Amino acid sequence: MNTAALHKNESTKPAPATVNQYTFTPRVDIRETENGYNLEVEMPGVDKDGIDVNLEDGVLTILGRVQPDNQDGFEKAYAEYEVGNYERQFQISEIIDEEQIEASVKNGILTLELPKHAAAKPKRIEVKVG
Amino acid sequence: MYSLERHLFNQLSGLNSLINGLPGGTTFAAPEGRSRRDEFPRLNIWKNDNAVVLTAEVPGVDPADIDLNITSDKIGISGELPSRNRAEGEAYQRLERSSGKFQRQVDLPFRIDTEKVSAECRNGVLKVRLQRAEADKPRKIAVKAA
Repeated sequence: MNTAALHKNESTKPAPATVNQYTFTPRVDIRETENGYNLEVEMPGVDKDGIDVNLEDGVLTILGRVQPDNQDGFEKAYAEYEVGNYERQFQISEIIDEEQIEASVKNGILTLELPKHAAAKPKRIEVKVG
Repeated sequence: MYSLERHLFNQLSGLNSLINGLPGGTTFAAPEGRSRRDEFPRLNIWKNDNAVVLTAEVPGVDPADIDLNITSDKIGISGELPSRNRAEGEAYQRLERSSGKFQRQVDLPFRIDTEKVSAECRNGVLKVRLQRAEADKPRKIAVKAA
């Protein structure tokens, strides 16, 4: 699968109730650590007030509402991207401690820390010399 | 596509699927007419009679790490995305974001004054404002009645 093609492709889902607004599937990196998962989601143009993270029935929904950046008084001379909102969903297993999920935003990247439940963390069993 | 993803995912993680993209989140029609969409950063250029505005999507780039190289008729953008810090025992299950150095250069729609450039970067979007060079502005010549 060509993951590069995932970036900024239009979602099949209807856009939220905003006129002429695109909804894109943001690129994401998911890293599994000893204690949980780290997600980095690309949402250029979205600040922290525009982000909604919702976890319901094991489905993590990430929404990013972009700050419109209208160039009033200008016409488009060249374009490689459209501006729009972001939405993506992930299924999350029950080993994630839903209460401990943390989200932060910097430079257009939403970072989510999804810690595993204590019971799901690897345990080191020491073998004693008898 | 979904089953292939699952397969890849399982191969990568060596575990049962703990996190998976839902089919609805990863299937869609590819947009047309955006052949350069995989370039980093992607650029939009706006103009009017007196100025040019260039915007670029630079998610994850520290504004201090962006270099602009501006001549009278070209603008170059270069920089580097932070490298991934994968510690021992960690594994990436999805790697969709770009990494490493990037460099782009585009022609401007007209000659600009390199002394009158302003740039800002907010929420991963770079915006550069450039003013048209006085010598390049079209002049209206009034025709006097003889």
